[in-house]
Amino acid sequence: MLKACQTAWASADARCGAQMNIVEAAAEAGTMIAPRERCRLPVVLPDSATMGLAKGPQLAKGVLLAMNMPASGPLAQETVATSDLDQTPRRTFLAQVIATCLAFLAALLGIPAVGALVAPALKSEEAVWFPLGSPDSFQEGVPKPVSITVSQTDGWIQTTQVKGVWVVRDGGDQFTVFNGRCTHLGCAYSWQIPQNEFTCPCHAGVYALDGHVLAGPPPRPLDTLSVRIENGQLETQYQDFRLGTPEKAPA
Amino acid sequence: MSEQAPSVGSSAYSVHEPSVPAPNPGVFGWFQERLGILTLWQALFIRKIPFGVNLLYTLGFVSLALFIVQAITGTILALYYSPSPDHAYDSIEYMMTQVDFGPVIRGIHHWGASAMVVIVLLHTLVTFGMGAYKYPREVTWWIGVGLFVLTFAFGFTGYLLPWDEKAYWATTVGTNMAGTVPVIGDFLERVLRGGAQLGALTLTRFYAMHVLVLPMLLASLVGVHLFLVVWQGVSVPPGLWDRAISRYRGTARPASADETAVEYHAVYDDFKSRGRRFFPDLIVEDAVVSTLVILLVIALAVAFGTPLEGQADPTNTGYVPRPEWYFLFLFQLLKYFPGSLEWVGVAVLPALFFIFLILLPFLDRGPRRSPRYRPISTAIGVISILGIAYLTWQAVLTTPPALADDRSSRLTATEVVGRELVDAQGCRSCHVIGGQGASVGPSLDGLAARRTPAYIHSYIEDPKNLNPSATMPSFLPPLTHEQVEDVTQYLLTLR
Repeated sequence: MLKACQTAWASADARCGAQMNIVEAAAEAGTMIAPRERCRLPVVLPDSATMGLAKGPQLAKGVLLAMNMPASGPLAQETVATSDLDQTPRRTFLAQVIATCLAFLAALLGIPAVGALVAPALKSEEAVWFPLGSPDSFQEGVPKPVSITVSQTDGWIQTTQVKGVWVVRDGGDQFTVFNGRCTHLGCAYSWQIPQNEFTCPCHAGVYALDGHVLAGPPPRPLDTLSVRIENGQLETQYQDFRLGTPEKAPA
Repeated sequence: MSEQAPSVGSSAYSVHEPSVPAPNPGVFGWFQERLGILTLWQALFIRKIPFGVNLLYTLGFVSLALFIVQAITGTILALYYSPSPDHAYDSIEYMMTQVDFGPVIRGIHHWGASAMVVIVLLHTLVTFGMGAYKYPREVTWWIGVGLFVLTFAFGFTGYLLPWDEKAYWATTVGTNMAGTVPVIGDFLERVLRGGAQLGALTLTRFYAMHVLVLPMLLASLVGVHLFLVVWQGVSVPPGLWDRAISRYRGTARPASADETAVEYHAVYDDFKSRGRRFFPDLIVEDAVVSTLVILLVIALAVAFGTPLEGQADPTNTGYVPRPEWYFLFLFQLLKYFPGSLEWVGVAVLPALFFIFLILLPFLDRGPRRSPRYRPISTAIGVISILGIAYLTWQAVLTTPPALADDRSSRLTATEVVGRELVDAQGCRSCHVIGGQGASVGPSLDGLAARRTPAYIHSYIEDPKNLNPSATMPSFLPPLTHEQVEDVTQYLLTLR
């Protein structure tokens, strides 16, 4: 099968080859082929230039001598005039062109690549303010529970949690916002109307309206959160703190 | 007594006088003595390239340059990618919206892939046209065919990764194609998918192939390919070569007689002796052409961006999948086969084509390299190019124009207004909409299947009227009656 293909292939090429001979004859007459395209044989075969990588030279040199090939004309303009190792001004310029290309590409690709690589390290987390409602919806001296949806972003993963806070209007535009977890072990506490105090149902912790501990095991007052009024909205930055310790430290 | 004892450092070792000259001083000399950098540099870069080499010879270098660009941008993409169906799409969106230079890096990777297919294809065609697969470069050609296949394998595994509609459905079709092969088809499909279904296991599989297996294979083969290019030297342009062989033979041998190794090396060494130095005389052409091609890729990335359709939705029955443009010919080819014979188009024809490419150096053994003296090779080449071009063109003609749009641009004007209102009102603070948002209230994705338009409209205007225990506030106001209707229309499009 392969043999048959090869034979068919070769015979088709050979028919074309006959035509090729005509082209060659015309070339010999010097009508068709420009001198610079001609081949100059035989040649001085350089051993040093090939760095020992080509295997042909010695073999071919001997064969050429044996065949005593006629030279087909001196066509010195074909050859590169300078020697292999010469550092001509032209080569210096070309090397500069290559270096420019490399530097240009390195900048063009390197700036976005390094930028994307290090950008997360340079970004600072922006504090998120959560809306609590209009300031007028809170009465002085009457704590009001507000649920806020806290979304946390970890790269492309977003998780949301509902957190509770207590808003206390101290008077005028002065507000205090408490984290809704008891500082003892994190239970949700609530405001008791007749007693006017916060009580935690888990271990009977009791806090006053300003958050200080009245009774029970809580080690520190209720945790206050930062608060502001922005565009007619009361807003807070939600944060959880370490539980069961006398000092208020971020969790 | 003392004269009989062997004297260390004199007679016993004196025969080993250093035969090499004293090494160069300094840090460079220290490394040169150990690594032979200068020798390597001279062998690789100060070698001579045969006379007659032209700009077509830069295509191999450009392919390599593009691969390096793909490796750099791909590494950055991998920093921000999660190969899991529940996060793949989100991570791509994150890259496109949150990462500095993210869109341009993804754009360069996307357009660079297409450019690489084009350049590798051209490099293969030029090699084919010049008959450069002939003695003594047969192995270089085979490795080139392997690199060609790997380039397409990169494309196939790469476009599943964004996990958008196009990725999901094109890969569904692509892996189904493997299933049409008789006897082992089902097995092949399961191997490709990592199971019966296209899903999490498919994504990790394709990801591992795309970022681990294929790059290592490609880099190794490129190494061998480049070694052979240096070892054998590049071929001489076919016209010059054919005339030189003919002239060398004179009247001693007919022009159509087989080329001998002796003839080859004699003529090749002559061309080489008259050639130019690789560095910097010729590599400057490689550098300039590569720079221009990469600039074009960056320009395309900046000008056209990178498409990202809606997130993959296995229940979407309306999606008409189309593969990347470089697979369109295969996609179109399958239309001409009846179902029972589809495997011929899927497996047999491509396999025959690659067997042909592998056998080519054995089939075409004539002395001539010009395309005009190689009628069969040239005819096969031209017919293949025209056939693939025709199939690709037919596939482009039959692609529905709507496919070019992503999901957001398929929305009506009313629905777009609704979507903007949904964004502005912060509905996602409580509801999951389009896969994003909080879970305080029910997810609104797939709402159309659960509620009537009138119910949705009334609920937004006054939730407590329909559900006394609802915690959702009324949105009339802040929205007007018409705006609530816009929102309703948009919510009905959510799947």
